[in-house]
Amino acid sequence: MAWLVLAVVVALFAQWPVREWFGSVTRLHIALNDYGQLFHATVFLVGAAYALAIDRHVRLDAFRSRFGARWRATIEVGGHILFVLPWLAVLAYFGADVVARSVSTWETFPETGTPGYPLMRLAFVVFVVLMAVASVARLLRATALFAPQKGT
Amino acid sequence: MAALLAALMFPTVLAILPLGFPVAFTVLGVALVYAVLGQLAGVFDLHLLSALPIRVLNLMDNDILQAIPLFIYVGAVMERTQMARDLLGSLASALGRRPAGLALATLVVGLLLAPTTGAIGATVVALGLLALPPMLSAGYDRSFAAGIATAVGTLGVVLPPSIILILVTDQMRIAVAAVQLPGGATSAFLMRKLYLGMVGPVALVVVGYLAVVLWRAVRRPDTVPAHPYAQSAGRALLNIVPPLAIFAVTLYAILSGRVYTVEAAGGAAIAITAWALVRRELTLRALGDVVRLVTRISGALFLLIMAAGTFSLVFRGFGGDRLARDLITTTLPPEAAVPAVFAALVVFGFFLDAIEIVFLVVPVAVPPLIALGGDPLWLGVLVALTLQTSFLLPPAGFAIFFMDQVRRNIGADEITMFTIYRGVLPFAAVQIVVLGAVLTWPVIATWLPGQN
Repeated sequence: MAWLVLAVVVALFAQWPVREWFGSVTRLHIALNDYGQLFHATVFLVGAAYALAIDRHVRLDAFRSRFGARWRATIEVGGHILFVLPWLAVLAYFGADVVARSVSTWETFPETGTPGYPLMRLAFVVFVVLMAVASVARLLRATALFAPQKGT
Repeated sequence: MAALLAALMFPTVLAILPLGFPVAFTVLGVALVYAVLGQLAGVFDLHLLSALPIRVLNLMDNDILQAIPLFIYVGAVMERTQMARDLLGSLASALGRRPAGLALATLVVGLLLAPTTGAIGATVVALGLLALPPMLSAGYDRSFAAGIATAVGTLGVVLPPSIILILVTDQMRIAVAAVQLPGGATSAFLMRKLYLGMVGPVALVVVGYLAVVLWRAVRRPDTVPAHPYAQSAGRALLNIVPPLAIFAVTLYAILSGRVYTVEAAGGAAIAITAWALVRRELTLRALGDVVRLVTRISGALFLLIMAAGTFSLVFRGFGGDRLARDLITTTLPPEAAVPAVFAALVVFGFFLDAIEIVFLVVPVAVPPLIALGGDPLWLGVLVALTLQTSFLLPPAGFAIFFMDQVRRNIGADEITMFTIYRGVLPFAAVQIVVLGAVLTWPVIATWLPGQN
């Protein structure tokens, strides 16, 4: 999935030579612009879930390193249940309509008419699902710390 | 009641952040909790949250922000190959024969690396890991070495084509649109104009940093000893010229208005990839590392933007923006409004990284200033400059904490927080002088953009 970054690079750069040689209203230029946008959005949406899965979202670390393992696990569990999962639920609940409408009419990109705009909406769905999976995974990992462990 | 809840939102975030839960989730989570509290108190309608998915979908459609992953890619290639390390090594060999040569080399590498990372923390860490060990082993004064590495790491906020400036542009557009200028003469806030506006202030900052370094080289050469380091001139040029050329061409292309920022960023990404291939450093595996790094950094960055969007949605739902506007426009004398807002910005810089501040504070605090007659371009420049300054201010500047992480990472136990404070002070002084100058003489920022 991460390799899509290269597609973003190529599509967004290629806009320039294409505009210089063929003009900005050509099909090719518009398609590069629109699909470049789609690739770009997909990269950061998938990236957000990926960063969550491997625990690389920015934290304020100065004090955290002084907490005990149990404290840290409690914070993780609380955060996922109180903050992350409800937020995803809000996105899913209020977003479902927009996505369904877009997919059922198979709308085109606004302003340019390039086909395939619902792919953008589907990327949003993938985002919410992946985030939820990653969040639950982190949650379970943190609760594992509460299980009685030998020698502790 | 609504006003009370709105007023408590910011302090709650600041109080919960030290627990160490990811910043983005803390910001969006606190907003949600307040939304529920507001609903229970009958001063908030949870249906307002239906705008949330729309905000995310609009973020996906936002084409100003496309340049961000591209610049991150450029930085990732330089960091994951030996390019950044070789650049520093060769600059050190070219400049190291004289006192403070390594410090100058750090400054140049920082100028190249800093604009390509969106988070100040990440830049300070990357630059610190790269530049601090050689300076320490060369026998530099510890506090000076830590100070310059920290200060240079913050240049990413203000130096075009900084990612932070792209975000400021995005938010300033919204702020400008929110203020109905009399006569309806709303002029678009252009990224290129902001870049041009930064040129004057950044030049002053860099000259100030240079002065600090040179002053030391002349007055206390024993604290910044020469560091003879043999490398052939040809080898050194090969390491130094291509990355500098890519950076210079990209910047020129953007500032001259010949190409859009996004396209220039794409061009820089392709050029740096080609150069890494020529150096035979970009194996499939290394490229895999780079794209994964870009994916997760962009993901983390855009999630922060979504979090800030969630926060401001709820804050507005409580009427918090009107509250802030009244506070700024009616309780303060007009001439005190700008300094007061930017003083508040400094305080936020103690707790939050640049992205969060740009997205949380600018949309609330800047429109009233525009309404009072402030030039949006000047205000945009001030936002960037203030943020950079606040990251460097002891005792709580954001960048200082990250340098503390670096010294723990490299096991430099002889460096304490106090060592870093002392080293940062002269650079922080430069920042304050430049900030004061731009506040007093807006023309430093507005002259160049006005020329074309």
